[in-house]
Amino acid sequence: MLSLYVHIPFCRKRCSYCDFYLVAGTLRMEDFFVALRRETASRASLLKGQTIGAIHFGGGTPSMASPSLLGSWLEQVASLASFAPDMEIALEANPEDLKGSAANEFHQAGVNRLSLGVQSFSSEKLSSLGRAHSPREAMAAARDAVRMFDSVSLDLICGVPGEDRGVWQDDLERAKESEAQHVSVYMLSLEPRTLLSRDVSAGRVRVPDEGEQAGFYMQALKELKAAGYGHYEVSNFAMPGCHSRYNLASWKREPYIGYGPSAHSFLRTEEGELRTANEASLSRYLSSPQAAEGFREVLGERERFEEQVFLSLRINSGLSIEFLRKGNTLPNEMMKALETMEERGWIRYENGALYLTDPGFLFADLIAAELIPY
Amino acid sequence: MAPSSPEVSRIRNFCIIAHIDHGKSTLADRLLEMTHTLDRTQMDSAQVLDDMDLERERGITIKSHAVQMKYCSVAGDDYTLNLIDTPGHVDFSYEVSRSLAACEGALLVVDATQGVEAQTIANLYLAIEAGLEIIPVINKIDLPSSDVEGVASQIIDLIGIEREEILQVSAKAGLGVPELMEAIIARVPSPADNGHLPLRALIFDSVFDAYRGAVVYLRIVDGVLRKGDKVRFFANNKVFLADEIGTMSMKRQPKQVLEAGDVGYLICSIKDVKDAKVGDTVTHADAPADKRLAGYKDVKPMVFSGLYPVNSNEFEDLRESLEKLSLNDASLVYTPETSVALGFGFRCGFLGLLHMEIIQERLEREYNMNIITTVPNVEYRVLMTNGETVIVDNPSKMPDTARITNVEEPYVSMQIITLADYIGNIMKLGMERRGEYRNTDYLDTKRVCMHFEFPLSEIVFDFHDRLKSISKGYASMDYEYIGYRESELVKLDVLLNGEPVDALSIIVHRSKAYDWGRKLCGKLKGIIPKQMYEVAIQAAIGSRIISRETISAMRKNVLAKCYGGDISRKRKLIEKQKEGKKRMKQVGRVEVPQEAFLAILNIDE
Repeated sequence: MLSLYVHIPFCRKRCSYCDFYLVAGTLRMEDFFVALRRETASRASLLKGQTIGAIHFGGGTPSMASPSLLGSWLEQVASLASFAPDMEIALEANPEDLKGSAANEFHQAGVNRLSLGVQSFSSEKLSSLGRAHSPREAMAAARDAVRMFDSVSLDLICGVPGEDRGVWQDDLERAKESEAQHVSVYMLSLEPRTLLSRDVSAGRVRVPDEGEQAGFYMQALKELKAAGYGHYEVSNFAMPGCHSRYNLASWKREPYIGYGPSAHSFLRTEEGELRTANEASLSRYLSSPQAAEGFREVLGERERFEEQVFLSLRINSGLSIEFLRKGNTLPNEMMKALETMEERGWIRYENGALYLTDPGFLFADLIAAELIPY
Repeated sequence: MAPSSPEVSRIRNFCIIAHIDHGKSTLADRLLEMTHTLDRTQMDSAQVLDDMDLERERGITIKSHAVQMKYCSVAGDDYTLNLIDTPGHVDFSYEVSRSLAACEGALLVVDATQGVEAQTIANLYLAIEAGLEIIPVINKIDLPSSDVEGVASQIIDLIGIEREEILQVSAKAGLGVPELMEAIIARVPSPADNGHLPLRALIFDSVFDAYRGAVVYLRIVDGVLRKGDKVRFFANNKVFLADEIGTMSMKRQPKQVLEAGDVGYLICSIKDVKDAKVGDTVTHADAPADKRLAGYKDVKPMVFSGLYPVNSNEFEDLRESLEKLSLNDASLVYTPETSVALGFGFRCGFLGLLHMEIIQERLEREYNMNIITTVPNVEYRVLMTNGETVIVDNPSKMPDTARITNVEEPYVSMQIITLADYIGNIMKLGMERRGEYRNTDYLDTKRVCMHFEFPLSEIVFDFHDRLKSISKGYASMDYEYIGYRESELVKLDVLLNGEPVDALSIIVHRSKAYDWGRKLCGKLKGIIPKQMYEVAIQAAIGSRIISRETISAMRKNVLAKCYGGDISRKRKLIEKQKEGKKRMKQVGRVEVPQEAFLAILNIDE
């Protein structure tokens, strides 16, 4: 099974906390799809004989593209590979793009899963994040989507300037009310070179500290699990069977092809496991989409081991002690660190494998760093 | 017949005394150019005599070198000029004195915009003591801010010379350099004609050549040295065969003979530069001189610090690196030691703080070592209640107070030259550093020379930087060691989660212990990152805790987002995190960054 990812790099404007690759405005949307079709054709051999299990339109704001453009690209793919009968076609969408008949048109074009960038249902939070929609629009979009699509995911952000437990609790309640089958929870991270990080370092804005953030995270874990959502990745919660298939495939190290500027691919080839990425430049992509690759790395044993460690931790699929011994001789320092982490209640062992506890998810990166070899 | 050495009367051996940045290297370049030893294109725009990278970067000369030049005077006579370069830092004052002893004359170079500085005076006195003819040279006379007459009167006051005897040059523009060449010939005496005496040659420097062993730089004072002679070194009585001798222009030029008055090199299969000590005398093994040349001294390190590999299994690599470094640096001493906190390492002795920094940087750059340096300290003399005297060069080895009668620490006498405006600030700094003020001399209406006595421990840290900052750069200093004095000293320990960290112990004056303890804990709190659990930082004298700070436990360490399939970036972030951990030292269960061990050095920042 193969997954496909399409990076549609357009947004109305950049949000204050975002550092993803994007271009403001949709002027070149049609040109982009022309280029996308050319890239797909030039990489057609990768699709030959393959069955596609999931297609994910990410961005950017892919909901700014017209459903007919998506549809025609899907037809092109269908001519090159076969689709699994239960294939997931997911679209990241902003609530303001789903007014009128738009949601229905995307559905007609084949989209069966919607990932809604609501971020919050609080007007203070939305304005501090610089989002274009209102809480009312967010809820309406979520409710409509749940009626129309097989599965719907909501993105929520916590740790926004001025946020407290009450505000966050309210967001969690509203998410549950919407009956979305999936929730992604991000702790706001200050990426360098964003407007927000500039405001914070200039002292104009204060964001909740790591202790408060940790509190928000634990609160989300408790509320969402109590409501029946399964916690299947650091930031992701889903009703049974409603996880994001493309994302889960990428975390499980299953192959995927990424199209569009800055999109990443992971393939098993004769050379070995291969990670590639397209260059993050729209103009170069438009002029030569068939030569978009800007990064290529064949994974060695060490890289494979490291990926396995941190990805297994993120989806908490269990790291067998046997496996850890392959990468390490489990030196003294690591044994000591593991003991401490167990004492702190961050990890637990079950059938010879290491798992994160709920609080342990907050330390997933530190634990990964402890477990990879020197 | 073998090519003979030049007529003694046509040899001039001299050095240049100057403060940093007063133009010594530029002037040396001009002399090399004038004598066609080297042309401008070869100079690569930088100064030639300083050939170590570090020297260039720091703009100072660390190791002295010598270079021979041929000069034809205006009168048409051929001369051999030997320019012996001198290190320009107080850490190396003994080396300076030996370089001076190899000369008959010295150019005293003073910047026309800056005037006489403390370092210049100190070296000038050494030169006068060595009986050298002094030729004062005012440099940078073409700069708009120059004050030639003011600087000239400072020089006149200093050495009681006539105004006309002072030369004026611009080394950069080449102004006055031909006149300077003639003055060197006219005023620097030729070496004594002692060729008939038994051989005595003064070692003023040595470097290590990986293929040839130690290359000894020497001045033939008496007698004649021939290629193939059996030579004896006074300091260790060892005998070697003179495989190669010669002079240095830009490269080594082998010769058959070196005679009294000559400056040259000697290669005789010496495997260890410690066998060729600066200041030692070389004589013939078969017909030795009765007495060595005066002024030999076994140089003793003044500042000590522990050097530890961050990665404990690199101990042997560190030993090898130190061995190699000490081949080239006879003043570096090291002995293995162990620290509870840092494991196996070496206690190293240095001539001073600059010397220490140089060694540290060379270990890191040239030998790729990842090392932790502990806070430098001086050597204490501890009189025990049982009457024994113990030398302590590592604060953690200070005996228990109950067994100590008293502790003595080394003192220096210091001169500081500055403008009268800054006397107040400098007096204040002097008091902060337990200085004992002696007196102030006026050099002219604006400039003064202040005299203090300081415990060496108070000036090894950041004294020079502080002095520069409180005087807006208008102060220079020089000091010399004057002996041990009794002081009220205590050992200040640092505890992390209740465990003493021996490598963080320092010895301080009792009156400063509380202040240091408080500042050190605060500083460490800023340096040690949050850990998996709370960390208590305490400062203690004996069993008494005098200060405490707490680092709260880490609350989260995860990036929420992992989308778009960019697994490589995420993996690299985790590798980077691992790298960061690798650079830290595990002390008990606390991960301590390297800079923590030097936190005390910039405690006031």
